Amino acid sequence: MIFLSNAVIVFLLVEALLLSLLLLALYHVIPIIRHWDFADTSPRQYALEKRSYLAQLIIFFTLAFKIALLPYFAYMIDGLSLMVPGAMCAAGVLGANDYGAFLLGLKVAILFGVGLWIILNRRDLQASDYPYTRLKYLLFLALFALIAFESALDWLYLSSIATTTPVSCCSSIYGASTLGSPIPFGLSKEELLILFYLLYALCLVAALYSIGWISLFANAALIYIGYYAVVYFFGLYIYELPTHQCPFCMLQREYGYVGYAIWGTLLLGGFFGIASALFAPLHGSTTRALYRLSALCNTLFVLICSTYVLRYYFLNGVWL
Amino acid sequence: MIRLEHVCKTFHEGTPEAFEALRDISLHVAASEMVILKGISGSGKSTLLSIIGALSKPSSGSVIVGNQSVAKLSDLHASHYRRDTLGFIFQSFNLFEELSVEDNVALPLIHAPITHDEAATRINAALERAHIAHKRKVRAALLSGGEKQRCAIARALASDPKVLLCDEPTANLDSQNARAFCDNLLELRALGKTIIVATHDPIFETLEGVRVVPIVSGRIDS
Repeated sequence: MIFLSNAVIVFLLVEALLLSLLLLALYHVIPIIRHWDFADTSPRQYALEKRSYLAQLIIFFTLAFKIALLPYFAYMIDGLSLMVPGAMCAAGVLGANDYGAFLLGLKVAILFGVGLWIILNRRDLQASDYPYTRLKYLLFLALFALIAFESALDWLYLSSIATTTPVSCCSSIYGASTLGSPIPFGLSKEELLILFYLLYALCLVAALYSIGWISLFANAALIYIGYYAVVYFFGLYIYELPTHQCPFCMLQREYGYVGYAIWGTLLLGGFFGIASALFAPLHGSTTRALYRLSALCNTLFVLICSTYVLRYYFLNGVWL
Repeated sequence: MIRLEHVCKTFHEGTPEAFEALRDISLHVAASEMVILKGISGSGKSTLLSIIGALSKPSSGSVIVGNQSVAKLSDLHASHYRRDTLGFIFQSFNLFEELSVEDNVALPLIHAPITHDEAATRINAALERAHIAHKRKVRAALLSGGEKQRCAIARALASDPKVLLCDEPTANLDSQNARAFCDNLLELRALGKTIIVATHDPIFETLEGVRVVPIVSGRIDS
């Protein structure tokens, strides 16, 4: 019955269309991986270069669309909370069956892969001898497998959402009923906050001095710690409720859709930071741009989160 | 300077309409040499010129200009190659009629990595070299055919290219202007430019020190 939602129908149709385009690209990519030899001047190599041009164009368009599809997925899942009993936000809908949380994780992982492919493709096209052609298409093969798996999981997940069985939502998933401290490493909120700002500072230092391995570590850690900091500390100031802990309610209209900005900047900052480390051996302008983008996104993320806390304190004179 | 090895070009490859425009073309052009690609319409000379100019790619074979493998360039590098190495002169001039001569000549320098002063110097030099400096402020629409072609030469020279590619450059000129154009090309060759002209105009065969390469049905006719 969940398929009666227009948003779901649109989502699945777009997913199917994108997968078809990727399948078309795959048809061109396989011979390129097998026979690519840039130095060769035979008709086959020229034909492969033409096919590569077409394939990378299709893949770029499709993957760029995939990036836009993740916020749409979050928006769609949030909207479905109206149809699922007990769900008040995307947390309840994602927890409606065993696939939801895994699917969301998979989508984020694919997004990281998509970003890497786009950067690699750009580097390849900027060089005079297409040095990363085979590598980028091998990465595409891995992405294609993941995206095909994701599409199957989308169907499984959406078709398994019961609209008659009540589900648990954020208050019980992230709330006080959770046994023990939900914050990792048994950290207190104060310690979590100190670690959060320290990691942010480390990310900035790594970006400023272009230190790849620190950027890799600090940004990966900031994504992990940042998630908990938002859910268990900053979220309280966004919701202005000391008991409301949820990563999804902030995606809703009553909170100005600020969740999209928060999670978007956290993931983008983390991605650019990790990518800058991975692409550091190339020593190009791409790497410098990635460091700058990472610093920019991380700073925006920290500013947005911190602003809520300061604003609450200045308006009310107390901390939550 | 320019080395073509076994260049073939087939249009509509793999379809029943497949057409072999170039067949196994091998050609070496030395620096400061002037080569005339002579042939009737449809013989493949313009196709060859477009491949040397990185405007299209061959179906097989290699094209080396300087040290660059031109046939293998990506769009970005092909644009840089055309901007930095080549000057084009076309049959129909391809000028912007509403712009002045000076502005037309300045066009190739818009994206060149040079200062404003350097650009001005190059524009002046190109206008002088093409004998059109006296018309620099005149709109291209008001020029005669010969003047338009001189403006086109000046535009081709603005980026100080090593190679000039001319596609039927005298087709729209009377015999007097055609002769003047040829003299201008000879001056440019003396300045070290490598020049390739695709034409069926017999006037080029009368020029001293040029090499005529006849092209028949996509092949070099030996």
